[in-house]
Amino acid sequence: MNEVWIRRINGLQLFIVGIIILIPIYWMVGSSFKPPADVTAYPPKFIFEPTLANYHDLFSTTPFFRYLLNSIIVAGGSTLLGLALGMPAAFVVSWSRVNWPAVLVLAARMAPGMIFLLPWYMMFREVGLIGSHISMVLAYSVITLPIAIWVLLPFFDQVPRSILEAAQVDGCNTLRVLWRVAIPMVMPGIVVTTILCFVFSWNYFLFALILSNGETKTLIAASFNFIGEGATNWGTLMAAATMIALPPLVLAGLMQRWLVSGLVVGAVKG
Amino acid sequence: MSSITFEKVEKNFGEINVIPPFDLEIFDEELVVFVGPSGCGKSTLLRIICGLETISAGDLYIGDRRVNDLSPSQRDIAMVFQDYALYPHMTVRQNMTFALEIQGLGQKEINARVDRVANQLQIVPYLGRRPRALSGGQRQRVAMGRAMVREPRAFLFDEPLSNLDAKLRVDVRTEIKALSQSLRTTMVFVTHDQVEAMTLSDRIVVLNEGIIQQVGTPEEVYDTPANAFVAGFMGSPSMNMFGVRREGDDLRLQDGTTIASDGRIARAVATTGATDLILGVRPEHLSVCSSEDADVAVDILVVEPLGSDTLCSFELGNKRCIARMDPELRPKTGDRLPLRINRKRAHLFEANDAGRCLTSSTGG
Ligand SMILES: Nc1ncnc2c1ncn2[C@@H]1O[C@H](COP(=O)(O)OP(=O)(O)OP(=O)(O)O)[C@@H](O)[C@H]1O
Ligand SMILES: [Mg+2]
Repeated sequence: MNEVWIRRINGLQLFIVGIIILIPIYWMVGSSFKPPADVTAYPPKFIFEPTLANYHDLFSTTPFFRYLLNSIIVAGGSTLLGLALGMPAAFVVSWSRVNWPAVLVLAARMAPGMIFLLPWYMMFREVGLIGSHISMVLAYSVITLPIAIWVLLPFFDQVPRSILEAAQVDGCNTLRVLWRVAIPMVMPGIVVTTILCFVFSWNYFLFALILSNGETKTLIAASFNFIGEGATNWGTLMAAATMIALPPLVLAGLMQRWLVSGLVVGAVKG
Repeated sequence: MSSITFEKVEKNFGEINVIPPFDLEIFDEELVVFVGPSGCGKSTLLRIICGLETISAGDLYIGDRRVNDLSPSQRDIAMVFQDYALYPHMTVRQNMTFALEIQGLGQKEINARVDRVANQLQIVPYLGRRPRALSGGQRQRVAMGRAMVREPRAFLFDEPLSNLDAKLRVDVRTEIKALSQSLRTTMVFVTHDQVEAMTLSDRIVVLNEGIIQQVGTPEEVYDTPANAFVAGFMGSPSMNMFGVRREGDDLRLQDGTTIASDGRIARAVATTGATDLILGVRPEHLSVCSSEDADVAVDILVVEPLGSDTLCSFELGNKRCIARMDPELRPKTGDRLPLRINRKRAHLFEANDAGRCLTSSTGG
């Protein structure tokens, strides 16, 4: 097969995948702007009068911004915690070439989230942390820590060993080697990790459902309430879903300019 | 500035013993070159000195201080890595100031040192650049600068010239030699290039499989090699080695040619009972002579003019040999030339694995 055809097929694949991913997003965003009567209309209406009624409804009937803040605290906190623990862990695993700790962490993540909940519930209740942000940040680091370790590992593996050794000879202890030399060199990896950790903990709702209370409920857990309370208000739910999808997108957009690659070029002979 | 002393230092990687008990004293302000074939343990020894490799047995001293248990950051030793290992996320200036900031030096002192070294190495124009925007030679200088600003107790160099092109390599070699004379700091330099070893060093340590074959000045190692390994390794083109059989005091090559021995060679022959020996003659110690003085007459197979000398290859005693000749002689392929072995400079070795040199021990 010649190259033109390969390129055409690649293009087609991209097109199909794009459609599959984009249609639900288009549906979600579109529906959020439809008048309530048009949301569930069949056949679907593609031409409608856009309205902010659903958003108005969302903001006036629910403490949306409190939930938003809770989500930011929990996702942000667990992302930071995951990074804080994951960076040194990935560094040491890469440095020492002893892989089992990373495998162990991954194995823990493979277990269904449900099995963590009962022990946690009892432990957090014991220390009076049920419903607190702290308990949720801790719980959500089960999501973020494995991501941080496994995404960062190949980035640390790419750092030439001699540079880390040069730092040691230059007077750095291990922590300083990590902080002053290794981390700046894996910056693109840290950006990717941050985005992934944030998105995954942002969208994970099981832990929040069980561990939060009315005050600390996250957006994703709160949105669950829109379904099934009598008649589901689809328009408002779609508005909420659109609002929930927004922050990770904004984060990814903000951080992608740090995604510069090729930082390592020129360090060693090249 | 410090001496470095190995006392029965050993290194094992798992089951494999890479460095058998190793004893050596490197004196203060000395430039010592470790030279040997690939895999002989040169880098390992260097990494042991700076602490990147722990030692399995024995003691290592820097100055009077036993440093076995000190981490690299506590040893105050600077190393120039083969691949330079510059910090890619820092500018050249930051690369140089990094270690000084960690030491907690004042900004004024740091700037003074960086400016002085940058001037000395002529890297001032690049101080603001990142390493990726530098050429290989410039990176090499920065790597040296990064070591020099620290004013450490000793400098270690692990084949720092091997990534440079031939001309640059010679220039930088000369520079390092000049530096070592002006800095008056202990330096240990690793190379597998014997020319580098000869030109740079105060003393050469010739290594093979982690074992010291000989320690000495370049002249000593070149003129009185301790064994056949050293003789063959040092010098380019390398020494011609002939398997010979002893006949009385004389030596017979494999093809039957007899080499009459005189005083020095005869004395060396007398020190051994063995009948099979190895005769080593450097290319420059084979000279064209009149046919009555000649030991052998050879047919020139290949002529390689170097400008200053001309190398001529021929076959003798079933071996390909090289003689270094005056280009004025204008030797040509196919010429038949009478050659004489310089008895004062030829060497005789035992034909066993140790290959002990018999002529070096009986005195030149
Ligand atoms: N981390 C290691 N684990 C196991 N063996 C090692 C390790 N590092 C080095 N070796 C072995 O030790 C021996 C000496 O290695 P070293 O790097 O010191 O050689 P070298 O003289 O520097 O060679 P070169 O000129 O190729 O750089 C080699 O046989 C090598 O295979
Ligand atoms: Mg080496």
